[in-house]
Amino acid sequence: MSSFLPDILALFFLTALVCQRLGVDLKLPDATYQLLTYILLITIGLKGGQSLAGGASWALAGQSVVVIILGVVITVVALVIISSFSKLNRTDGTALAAHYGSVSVGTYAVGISYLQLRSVEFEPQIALFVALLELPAIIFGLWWLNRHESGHKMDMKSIFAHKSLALILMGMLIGAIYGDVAKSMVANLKPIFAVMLALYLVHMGAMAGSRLKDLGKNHLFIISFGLFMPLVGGTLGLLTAWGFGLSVGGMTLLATLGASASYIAVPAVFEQVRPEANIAQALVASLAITFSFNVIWGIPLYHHAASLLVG
Amino acid sequence: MQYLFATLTLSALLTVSLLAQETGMPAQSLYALIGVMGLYVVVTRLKKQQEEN
Repeated sequence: MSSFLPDILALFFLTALVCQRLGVDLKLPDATYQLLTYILLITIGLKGGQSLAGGASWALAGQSVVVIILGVVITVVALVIISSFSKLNRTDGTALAAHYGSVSVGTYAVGISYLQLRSVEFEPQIALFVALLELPAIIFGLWWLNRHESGHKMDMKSIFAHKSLALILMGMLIGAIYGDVAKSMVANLKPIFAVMLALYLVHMGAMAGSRLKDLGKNHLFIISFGLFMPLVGGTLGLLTAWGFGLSVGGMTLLATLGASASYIAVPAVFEQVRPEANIAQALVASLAITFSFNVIWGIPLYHHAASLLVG
Repeated sequence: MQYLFATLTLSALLTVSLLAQETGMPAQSLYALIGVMGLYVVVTRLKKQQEEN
């Protein structure tokens, strides 16, 4: 029976989603959700920065470039699938593709927790990859749209000035500068990380449950796309990590990042720069379908695949 | 095209599930997902046919 049950954190997400569909609103107050996001992002950033302190190398610079290219490749693959199989217009299709080329820090946090529960180690540079993967899809998506339509300018401030990126970079910078001092701070945050993540997942489950009604007339494509893309992105992430020679934990996390879809940064930027894009539809795909898939099925699957590849 | 893509997705999920099971990972919950998705595709198709008729 236990093998049939999803991971403990996935169960928090799943029960909250079911409760929401049954009419019990489990969404956290906005301020509480924001606080949880701050804690998760700063913890991830601090831990990554602290581990990276003194570990910068040319190899890491090369890997960073490849990871940026990975973000663009996933966006292009998503664009090809959308233009081949759906009737979405160019703006909606590009917005949807950009969501999948970017990453979800929430899914990454669940991945970390999944590995920690199983005492699986992973490389510190993955936190840097999270920050690097946030932007390429947004920049590529907006460039792609501007290429086809005149009259729109690339608003760099809207692209770079959002808090998820700022918080994770801030955490990394402070963690890297104050390596040893930050250690005690990370140690203090560690026991509450799992509880915070469980609360965060209750909120996300409720959000996903309430989003399901926004599927619209493209519902069959959106659901299929939300399930297909994590398999594509996860495979690309896994192969990239394998090429880097990462450990099983590192491979699992890079596959998780490749498979995840943004639901904070990309919608925020596209809502500002391209208000005509159907963001609700993209959010249903990224949050209600892909986030659910990754948390319940994806992460254990990527971990299993990574274990097989490493042997 | 939507139905073709849905079928492609179902095939991809089934392949992944079979591979996972063959290599020692419990895949029951993945089969449950495929079952639900398959049912959804069939119901959507039937509804559309009913509307067209």
